[in-house]
Amino acid sequence: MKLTVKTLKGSHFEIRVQPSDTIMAVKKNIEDVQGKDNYPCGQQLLIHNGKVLKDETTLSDNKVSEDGFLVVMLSKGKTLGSAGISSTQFASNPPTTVSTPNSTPLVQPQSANNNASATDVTTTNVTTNTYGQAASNLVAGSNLEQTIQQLMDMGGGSWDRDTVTCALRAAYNNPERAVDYLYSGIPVAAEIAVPAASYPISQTTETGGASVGAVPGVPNSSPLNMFPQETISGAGAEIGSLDFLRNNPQFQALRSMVQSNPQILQPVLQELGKQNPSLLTLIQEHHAEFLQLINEPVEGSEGDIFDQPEQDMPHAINVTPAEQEAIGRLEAMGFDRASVIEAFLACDHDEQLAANYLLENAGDFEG
Amino acid sequence: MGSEGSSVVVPRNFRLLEELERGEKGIGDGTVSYGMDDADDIYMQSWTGTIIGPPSTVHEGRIYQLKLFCSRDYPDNPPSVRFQTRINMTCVNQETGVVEPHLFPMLANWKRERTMEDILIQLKREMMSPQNRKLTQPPEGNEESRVDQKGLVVRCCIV
Repeated sequence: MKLTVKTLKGSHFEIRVQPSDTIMAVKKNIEDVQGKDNYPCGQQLLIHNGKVLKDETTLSDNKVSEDGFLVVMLSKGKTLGSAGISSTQFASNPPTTVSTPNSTPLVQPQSANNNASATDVTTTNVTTNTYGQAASNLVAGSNLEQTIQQLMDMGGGSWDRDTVTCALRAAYNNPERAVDYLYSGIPVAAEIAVPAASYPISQTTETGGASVGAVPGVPNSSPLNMFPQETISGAGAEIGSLDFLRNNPQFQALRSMVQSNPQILQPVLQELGKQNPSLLTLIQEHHAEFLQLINEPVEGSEGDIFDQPEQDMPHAINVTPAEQEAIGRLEAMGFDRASVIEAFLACDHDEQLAANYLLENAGDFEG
Repeated sequence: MGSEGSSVVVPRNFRLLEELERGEKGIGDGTVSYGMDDADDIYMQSWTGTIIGPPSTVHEGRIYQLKLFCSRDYPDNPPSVRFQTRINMTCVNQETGVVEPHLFPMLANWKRERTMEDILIQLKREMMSPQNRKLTQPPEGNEESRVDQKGLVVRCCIV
């Protein structure tokens, strides 16, 4: 049947429709007749006998009869009906576009994390398969020279050969990690570990951050450390209290070490017993007082504190591959390695307790 | 029949049928349109109408739906007019959408010769008046909130 459509501009035109056509079909018909620029079907509103026709209804539902007329007008894209649906569909496109660049940065950090994780796994030699996979990220021999050249080109001349070589060595010849070091600087611990890379105890060295010069001297440092105590002990009264230890620099260093690493106390006492049995006997007689002295706040000089922990740290830290994995997991929670190791050892190698400890004291660590 | 002079009084049903025919034929510029709410209503009391907001006003681009109720004494008495679409106008009650007769001269000084189309056209002119063309309008899309009132009004009028 024929239908007259009036526009707001005063013109009118005819369309041919069927009574069973839906209002949406009529709108598309109008769009075909008048052109998409003039009357896009998504924005059309049809009015008949004082009613705004809904898209899902049919002409017969609205009692549009032969030779009836409709009024068509354009909405601003905010009104109800298909205009709203069309607007929603259009609005869904920009988020899709926006999400595309978001996925790219997500991939890169994951890749970087995977590389770092692979490197850590390589260090612990957990499984052959994992080591084989990680090997593809490491370069050596003839590939090393090519990698160094590529990294120098990547820097555009800002990185010289020595810097690139140093970064590669600090990253155990992992190119991705070396690039990270070149951009953000080589960490102090890794840099200290560089000269010790060829030593079999490199893992322990990295963990403790001790200098290579002190490592061979560890067996000799104990007698040297205990000798002054023997002298002072001889000068002190045999049956006196332990107050003389309060001002002893070696005791202050010992106290700071024990407070930061309680497990070291027992080996130190055993070593002390070998060097100075009388002092050990004295400590055992005044056990409570000794513990009180140990728990007092540290007030020794920074020099002593700095030197003594370096000498004895390799002694204390002896992690197994399983413990290394646990430390890695705690480190992945967002805490720095030093805090993780401290909490892990303080909680007697219990990963769950260490996690709780780190979370409860997160404020302290952040400060 | 109107041309025969004022001596001839047109019965209510003939008058309403004439208005219905005009509404269906669409004589006019198309900015106002009206029709019966229910085609099966033998008394032809309930009507629906639309006004397309005039350009150069805050009403531009809006479609206002109205309900008109012609009681038994129409056209001797004016119909009651109520906006279904929310609108902010001086002669319209904000809460109910009813056009107040004492604020709308056409309803207050009703003449028998007026038609529902005249009411709609006059309301459209009222939208273009200085006091109404710049009034802040409520957001669109609140038509559903008046459905209950419509039923209530119809029920009251029927009783």
